[in-house]
Amino acid sequence: MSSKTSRAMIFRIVCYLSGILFILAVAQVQKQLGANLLEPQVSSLSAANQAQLDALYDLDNLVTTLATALLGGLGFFLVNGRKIRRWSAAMWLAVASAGCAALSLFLGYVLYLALLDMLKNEMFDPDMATIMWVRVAQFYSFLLAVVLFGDFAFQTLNAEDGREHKRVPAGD
Amino acid sequence: MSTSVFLLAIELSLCWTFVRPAALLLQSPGFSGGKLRIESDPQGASISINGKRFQQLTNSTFVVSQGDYKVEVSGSPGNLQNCSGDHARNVHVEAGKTVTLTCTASGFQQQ
Repeated sequence: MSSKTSRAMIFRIVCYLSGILFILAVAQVQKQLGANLLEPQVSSLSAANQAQLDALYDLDNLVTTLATALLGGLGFFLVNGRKIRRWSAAMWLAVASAGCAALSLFLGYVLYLALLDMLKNEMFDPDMATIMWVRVAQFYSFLLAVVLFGDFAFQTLNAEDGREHKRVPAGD
Repeated sequence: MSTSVFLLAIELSLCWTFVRPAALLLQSPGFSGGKLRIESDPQGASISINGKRFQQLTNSTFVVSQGDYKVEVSGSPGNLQNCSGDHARNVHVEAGKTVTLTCTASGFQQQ
């Protein structure tokens, strides 16, 4: 097995292991935070509660949609753009951006589960610990994905500009 | 079978074996608690649980994790004084169970 192949294999294994560890960590955090629950029971939601829930749900949907679009954009750049050298800075930025976007999608799903759990247990508190940290983590991982994507796009376009300039003969 | 297909098959089976069970952990019901119902005679007294005062007045139900809780009920309209301070009641709530505490002029009664 060549060193390139083994490097790629190690990278894949690290990705899987990180994914598993992250999922386990999220499940553990949710369990720990849910262990100190003390919330008034609500039999029905008021109009204000419903509006809060809708806003939260809409934001979750919006961030999920935007993270999916970002992954699409990243894929478009990688497929249609100039070939990016393996293990270059631009490549790492693309990987990190995709990782953060995937994280945001996963946390969106966790948030959805936490909301369902809250409603199933007849509670209503969008600021409860099990929901609050997921909300914040989902949004900021998406934001980080956007920043990394911006940096990746900037580096890639800059590199392309550099190549274009080199091709133009002197005197033109 | 080419090497890449073989590696992909290994990757998929590893994913199925390790990632799926980890992801399913989040699907299982995370909340394993019970309910704490606080009543008073007359109704409308204020409630404190573990030192935290709630907006809800008696009679109210709280969704709580399994564990021990210190409950206090006080105030108008009955000016209840035997369910707070030294007369506060410690209760244990088990998962899936509802504990009901009723505060009267003579103190707490647990059901």
